[in-house]
Amino acid sequence: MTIEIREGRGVGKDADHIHLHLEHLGPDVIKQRLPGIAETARIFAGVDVNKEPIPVLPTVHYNMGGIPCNYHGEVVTLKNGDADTVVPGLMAVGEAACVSVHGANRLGSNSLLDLVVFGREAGRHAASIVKPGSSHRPLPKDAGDLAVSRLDRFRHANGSRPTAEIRLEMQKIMQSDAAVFRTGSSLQEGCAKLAATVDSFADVRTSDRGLIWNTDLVETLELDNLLGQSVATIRSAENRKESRGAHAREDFKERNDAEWMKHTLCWVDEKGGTRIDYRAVHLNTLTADVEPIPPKARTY
Amino acid sequence: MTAYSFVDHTYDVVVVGAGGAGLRATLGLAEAGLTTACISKVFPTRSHTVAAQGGISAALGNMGEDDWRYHFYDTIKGSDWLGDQDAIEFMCKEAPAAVIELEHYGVPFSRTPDGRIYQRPFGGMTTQYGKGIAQRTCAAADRTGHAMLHTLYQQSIKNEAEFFIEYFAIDLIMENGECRGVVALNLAEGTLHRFRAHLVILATGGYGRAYFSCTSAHTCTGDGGGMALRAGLPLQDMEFVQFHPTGIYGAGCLITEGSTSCRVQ
Repeated sequence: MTIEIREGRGVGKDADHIHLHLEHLGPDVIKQRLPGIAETARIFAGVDVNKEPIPVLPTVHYNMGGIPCNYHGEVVTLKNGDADTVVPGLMAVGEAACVSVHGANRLGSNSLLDLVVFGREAGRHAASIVKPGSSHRPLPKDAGDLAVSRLDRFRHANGSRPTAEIRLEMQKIMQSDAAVFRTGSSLQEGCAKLAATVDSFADVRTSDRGLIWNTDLVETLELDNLLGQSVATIRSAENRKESRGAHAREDFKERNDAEWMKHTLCWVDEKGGTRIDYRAVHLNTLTADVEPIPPKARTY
Repeated sequence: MTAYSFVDHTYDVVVVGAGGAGLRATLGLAEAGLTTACISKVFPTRSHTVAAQGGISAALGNMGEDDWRYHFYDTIKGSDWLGDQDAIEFMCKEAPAAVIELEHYGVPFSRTPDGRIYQRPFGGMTTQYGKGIAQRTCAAADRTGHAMLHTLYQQSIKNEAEFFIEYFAIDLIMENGECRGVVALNLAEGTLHRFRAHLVILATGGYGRAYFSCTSAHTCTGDGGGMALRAGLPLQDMEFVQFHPTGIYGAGCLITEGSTSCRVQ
């Protein structure tokens, strides 16, 4: 599908999606076998599937990547050569985190499990290291300065590009160049285009200068978060020269355990510059209750 | 720059995000007697977990043979050997207890005729290391995430966790590589709040909205990942993004793949 769209055979004003035809099935089969689909298409696309095709495109469903942490939920980072160094005071759980239990592809119904098991463990672990009501050191003098400076800058941003315009540009680049179809040239093209979009964020314009329910401001703060993660995503995808799980490269079709059985770590600075390093995959189990599963080809 | 002042708070632990993970963490912290604040930019039961329809996997074996070791194998294979096997062991082994605990908290799971939690088959979930099909996914009809959120929110309230609802977390407070708290904006009042805590737990969800088409809510903007990057921390395995082939253009909601294989009989 992505290939059809990339090669210019998509439909619509921007030729950026395709048509899924169901009308050949006939009203009886549709009514009997696909009533929910017919309803969804009517409500969300305004389409009668008995008469017209449904406009569709590949759609992001889950982010396997995230903030690296150990199974207690403690955030880890690479420090002095140790990529399992705990960041004191900080934990992460759920889809925001990368424990990593989903690796290169998540199984359906393992995501709710991830939330519950690691949410529960984060609570337990926190209770084991924090004594209820224990005293706090004073905060540093500059506590909150970063947040305030960003908030103030976006609140008064008086450039030429509205938040929504920059966001849509980012989303279209990611959809076109960092989606299902990935190859060196498309990813490099995407990296370059996205870098220009990130640069243009310095020229963002907001229109609401208030603080009361300022959705313009919040969407701009959110866009800042999204831009950093888009950069990390496309740069990490460009960097990983193999196919594994959900990351399928046209130019490197095979999984390459010798070089790439490792987690990508990607830092992004405020200008969109990146640094990439790695963290070893834990091929060991936690206890002797189960044997590690050695790598083999993944076939179903 | 305009002058801003802070409203200051101190808690043992602050959780950012009130989806399934954030609420489960909040509940555990409050039960353990820690003073706990949970900050969320939307009302907790509107978090994106509410949209999870399929269910939650756990090798309970209610509907046939199962073992957490099979689940462990399936998850590693699904991860294409990029998953950390120690963490996967932990998750699969803890799953039955964690799900039964949810049942006891009040999640209204669907039932088998003899009253146990109903489990359905799901792609990639097998028995005997790939040989059979497992029925491992526990479901509350087609709204398991919805049921979980409501239960966890109610239990958190019961245990006196404090919620800061419609507060947008902006940035972490870092000091020499240690996290000391978080700053948030009260959206309705426009006031800035500085939370000091021994621990901050980020449970902000995914960043599906980086793409033009995604199934996730408009709120899924990866705020925790953004905060981590600005704190000088790396993000891991970001190149791995799961796609569904057929989302509706402009809306993102899904057309099941079954429709593409439906034939005129």
